[in-house]
Amino acid sequence: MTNMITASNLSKSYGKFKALDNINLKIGKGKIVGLIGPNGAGKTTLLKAMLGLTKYTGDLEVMGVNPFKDRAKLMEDICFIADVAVLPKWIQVDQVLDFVEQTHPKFSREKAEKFLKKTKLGNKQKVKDMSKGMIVQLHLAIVMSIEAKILVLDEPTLGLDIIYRKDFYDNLLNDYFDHERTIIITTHQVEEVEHILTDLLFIKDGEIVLDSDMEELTNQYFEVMVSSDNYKDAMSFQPLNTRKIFGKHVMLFKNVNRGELEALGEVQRPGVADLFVALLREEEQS
Amino acid sequence: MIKTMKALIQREFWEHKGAFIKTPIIISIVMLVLIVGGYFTSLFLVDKTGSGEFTKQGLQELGKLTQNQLSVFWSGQIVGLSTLFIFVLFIVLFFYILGSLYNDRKDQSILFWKSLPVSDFQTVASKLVTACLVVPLVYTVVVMLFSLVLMVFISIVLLAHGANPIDLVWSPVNIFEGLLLVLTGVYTQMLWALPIYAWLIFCSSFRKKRPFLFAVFVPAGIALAWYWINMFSFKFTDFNMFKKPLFYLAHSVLPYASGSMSEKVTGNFHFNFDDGTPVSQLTSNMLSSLMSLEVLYGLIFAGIFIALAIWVRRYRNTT
Repeated sequence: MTNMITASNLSKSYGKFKALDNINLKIGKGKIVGLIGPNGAGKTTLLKAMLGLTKYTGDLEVMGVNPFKDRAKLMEDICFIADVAVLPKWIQVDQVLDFVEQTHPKFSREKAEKFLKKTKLGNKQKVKDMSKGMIVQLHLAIVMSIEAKILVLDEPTLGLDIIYRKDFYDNLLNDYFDHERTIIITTHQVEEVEHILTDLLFIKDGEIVLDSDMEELTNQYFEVMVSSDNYKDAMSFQPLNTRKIFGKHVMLFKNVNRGELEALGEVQRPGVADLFVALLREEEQS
Repeated sequence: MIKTMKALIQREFWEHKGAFIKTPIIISIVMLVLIVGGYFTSLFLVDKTGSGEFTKQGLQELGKLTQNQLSVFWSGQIVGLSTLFIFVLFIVLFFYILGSLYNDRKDQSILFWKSLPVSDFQTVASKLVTACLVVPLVYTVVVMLFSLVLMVFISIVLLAHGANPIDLVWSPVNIFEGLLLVLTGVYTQMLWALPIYAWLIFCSSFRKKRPFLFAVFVPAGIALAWYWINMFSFKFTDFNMFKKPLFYLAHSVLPYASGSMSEKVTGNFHFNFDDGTPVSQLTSNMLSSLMSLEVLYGLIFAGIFIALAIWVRRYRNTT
């Protein structure tokens, strides 16, 4: 597996506040990584470091390059959408296409126009006359038309309505992702992305709490619907978390034999959001 | 690299079409309306009151002038006209540069620009090339076109009064000399203003808030402090913090006068008609003013602050 991003002892402080605290991670080629964490956990700082937008201590290599030193070069192979709608207000659709076409060697205008045909955006429309959702559509159309090796999406679907959000992730998977590319996504709507992720990174207080691929997760963590009759038996396996739905207990277990759990009730892979909450609690207790 | 630079400059024109293109055109139109309107009003009012044949008299006076004198007369018109445009050009560029590295940080579109494979050096360079080379050229073209329109209008008026526009206008007016004057004017302005532009682009890059206040009041404050210290204590240097920036500013606002401006003597306009037209003298005066140490110091100052602006943009401005 080729590593696209390697970080070792990556740290970043703002005054006394440690935004990133000794982060070590490797992200391989062809992965779709979900970077999940509460507000202020350091997600955006980590992404910014990878994009060469912020200084840091420790080592960080993105495609073999120091992102802070060689930012302009790196941008040929890495694309990103920041969490705020950042297209300039005065620009028109055709102007932004012209500009990216002239400055980005890996941009396909044809592709972008194909994406834009599916939207209601007009060629001469200005960003300031667009709704938030339309701005995101335009930005995504541009980004998805760039043959980048790494795509970083920081809350890409913020402000989009639900139909378009679903479309977006479907497009991302079908039209864009080809196992040669690496995608890193942060989002608060974990449920929407979890079915496309190959890897998960949980981050909290500037530290990586969990770094796992989805398969490993499926083999390690189980969610079991336990009826009241089996409640006591189930508790003996020390669930990480328990919540009650429709009179049944939904319990989260780690590294328990699957066979034994199946005796207690229906076993399934836990949702990423539930897992995240449970892991954070576990962290806090320990 | 050249493709990128072209796209970057194109971008500046998309964003600032109003200041770069519409402004000089609107000024032209307004002036044209005033002149044409003025002509018809005078025709109407003066002839109606019967106080005299105003236009005819003017024509007679014009007819009495020699070709040389006519040429001087029209040169004066070109100088006056372009002085206004060059003054506006400075104001436009002042505010353009002040916002150039600030506005995209304010609306956060900097993150979009920085997501493209364009270096910060290229970005800053494109803004300076736009301000220093391209926009002055646009203003020059508009001034020249406006002058031509005006000459056509005057010719029509002359024809209407039975005078010969070829003799009175087209043959004494030296369009090429005029073009040379305006070109020299805008680029002399640029060279004198470069330290000011550099300071502005540094403020634009450096300030998190209100670059205008910082850009204007910090130098003013320093100059004032300098002034007081020098007043109350012994003078430790001849360098005058008050006069120096004003000296550059005066040249930037009125580049035509730069051959005849000095810190000690001002208003020393002497034209010797045997040495050529006033226009060509102004042009050569401006060119010779550029061969001064002041311009050189200005360029060095500009180099430092432009480098600082790029550095800040590169390493500090990330959101």
